[in-house]
Amino acid sequence: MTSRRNFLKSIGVGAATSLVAPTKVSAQTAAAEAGKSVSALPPSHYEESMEMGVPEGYTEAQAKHYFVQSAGSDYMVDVMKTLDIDYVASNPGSSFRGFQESITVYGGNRKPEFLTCLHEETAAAMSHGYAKIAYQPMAIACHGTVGLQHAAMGIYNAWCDHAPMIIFAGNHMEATDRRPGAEWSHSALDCVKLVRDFIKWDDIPLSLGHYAESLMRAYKIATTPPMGPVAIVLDGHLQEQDTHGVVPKIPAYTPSVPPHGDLAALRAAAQLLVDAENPVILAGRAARTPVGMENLVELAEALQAPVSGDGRMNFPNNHYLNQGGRGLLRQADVILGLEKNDFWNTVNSMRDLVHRTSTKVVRDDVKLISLGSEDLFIKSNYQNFQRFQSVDLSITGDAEVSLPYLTEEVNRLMSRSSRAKAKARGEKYREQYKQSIEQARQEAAIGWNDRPVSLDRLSLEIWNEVKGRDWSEVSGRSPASSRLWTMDRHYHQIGGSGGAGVGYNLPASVGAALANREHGRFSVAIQPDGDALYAPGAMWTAAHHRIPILWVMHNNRGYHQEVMHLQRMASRRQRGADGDAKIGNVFEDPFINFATLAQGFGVYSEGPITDPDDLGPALQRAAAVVDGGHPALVDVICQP
Amino acid sequence: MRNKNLSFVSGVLLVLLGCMALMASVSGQDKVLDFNGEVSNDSPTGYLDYVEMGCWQCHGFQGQSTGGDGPKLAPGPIPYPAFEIVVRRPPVVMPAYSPNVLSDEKLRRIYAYLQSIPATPDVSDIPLLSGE
Repeated sequence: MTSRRNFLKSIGVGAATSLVAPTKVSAQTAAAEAGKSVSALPPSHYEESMEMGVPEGYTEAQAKHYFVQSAGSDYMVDVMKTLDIDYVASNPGSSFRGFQESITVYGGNRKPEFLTCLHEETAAAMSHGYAKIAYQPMAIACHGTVGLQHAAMGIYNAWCDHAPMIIFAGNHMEATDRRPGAEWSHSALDCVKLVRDFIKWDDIPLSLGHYAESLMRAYKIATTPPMGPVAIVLDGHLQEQDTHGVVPKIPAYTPSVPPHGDLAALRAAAQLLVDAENPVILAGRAARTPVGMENLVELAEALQAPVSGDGRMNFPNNHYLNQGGRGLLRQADVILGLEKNDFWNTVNSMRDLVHRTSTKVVRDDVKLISLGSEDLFIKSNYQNFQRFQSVDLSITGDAEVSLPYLTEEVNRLMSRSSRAKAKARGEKYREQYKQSIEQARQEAAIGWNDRPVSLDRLSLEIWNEVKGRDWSEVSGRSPASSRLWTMDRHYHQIGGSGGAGVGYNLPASVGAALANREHGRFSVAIQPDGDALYAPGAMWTAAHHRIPILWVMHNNRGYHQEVMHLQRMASRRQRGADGDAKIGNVFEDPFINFATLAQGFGVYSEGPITDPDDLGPALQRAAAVVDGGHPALVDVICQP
Repeated sequence: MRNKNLSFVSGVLLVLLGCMALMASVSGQDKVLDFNGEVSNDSPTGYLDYVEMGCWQCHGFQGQSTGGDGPKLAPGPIPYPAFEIVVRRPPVVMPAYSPNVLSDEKLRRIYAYLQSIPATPDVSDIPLLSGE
């Protein structure tokens, strides 16, 4: 055991590091280099005052009755500091009051900083969005019972999207020590059970030493691909106990090197790809970081193979090998799927009829290769996977770190004739790419002056405003006409929610914008109206913490997907939905005014805008507010 | 179980009521912008049917497509016989609309609306698209 003042001296190897993937040269070397040391912080005012002994006017016995010298939760925060956790997003709760006080007072509210959230789902989604830009997890803190129930949806999305998250859940295990009332209804025998089906790991530490080891283990598990949320229960008694300055040594933390695919299997995959006439690469959650994107570009260029993505920034959209469409798959003789949990959906098409039928959309003789860590990420109850797809070669390993090995093999196996074949393919895709840009331009022109505003008009007015800035689109949705945007940075698009749990976009955009703030980036989100209504308090969090972000409302006044589901059901049943399809699905009588809502949260706003010609000037004014370091919202009445 | 004939009659009545409500709202002012978009006294033939049947949900008010599963319908719709087959017995994801819920007459009006949509504007006239 060591005293708190000496504990930092005892920290071994450096702290946690960002999740930027190991370089293409050597994963091991990069992981070792990425370790950072933590400098010792001077004692805080609180620390000094408590260590001066018995306060004036109190006997020693009285002081022991009323005061603690050093709280268990102070040590908990010290352990967090060694992991370089920058933020704890939270809606406050008494079951972790000691922890909160230690963060804000003892820890100086810096690394981690306590972010005030108005709902636990906001905290979880903020953490989710943050991780996708910062490449490191944000912690959240909540009641183990009522808080975790609120946070569950956000945690589920993060699980499905492979986003790391450190969850602290307050709880009181010692029944005779619970205060009457809330400490009973806010305690559970096993509070994390509620979310255990969709987190990677959890523990209930019974001592501070147990806490330190478990947090290190939790962080390591959360940030090792395939990543995901983990939970640590914070016992109330443990937080509030007096350590008298004697605390356990904090274990050293070393990040794990992500697992790459078997080299012989990667060599076999390379052979199939090199021999193919029309190889195609399908990227799911392939590029976790900018390095992943670079690695994928190198593979695609080596093969001159087109890449089709899934909304996450896997591949620059201004690259001629960025292609899409079913035609691409129909002609493919070898398809490489990277981190795809929906391989079946991609190579088959299912019709939503009375009797659901499916057809293959690829050649019968196509060879399928799967490379990814999806097989390591499956649990039974919540089925975040799709129909089983038989493949010719299935390689388990993190795609991002495996790609350099695959590319190296491809380059080694390329003969003169295969290079000539690849060159010819490349020329074909250059031409197709040019045509797709022109086609996108033509299609965007249709309905340009429509009311409600067309999505192409909305998208291109936004692009016009952001293109001169270092921007980041943080809504998780791909803008219409995205072909006409230039997306060539990993942070240009963060991908969707993962679990399709509505309510993700708004708070996740705040978390991502917070991570962008450190880089001076301009965050913009095309915000769906229905999503914004789950946890609109996230707007206040952005205003309060001075998180600059421009929300442009895609306000189509309803859940249009659900309208279409009702129309499908009514058509199938020969009834015809007509106006009835709106029931339960449409926000009218009264319409919701998002500009007013935003104003109520202290956010600059404009709208609702119905005339497309008013959009550009409104965006310009709102962007100026964002440039000044504040959030702004422009409400636009749009087509679905 | 709901009686099929009654259901059909109810459906027709609802359509009529819907049309009357829509027209009533149109008569009050020149242009109305609500959940169903913008309608006016001089809306082209078939536009109200197009809106009322919810075609715009996937295909946009100008048939331009809203992305996803709804393909572009206009300008220059496919020939009517092919159009009718796609609506009645769609080969892809679109739901089938039988004559019980979408009459031949109404379908023809919708097609007339799609035909009336003018040619794609010249992108050179739109600064944001022409790159100016």
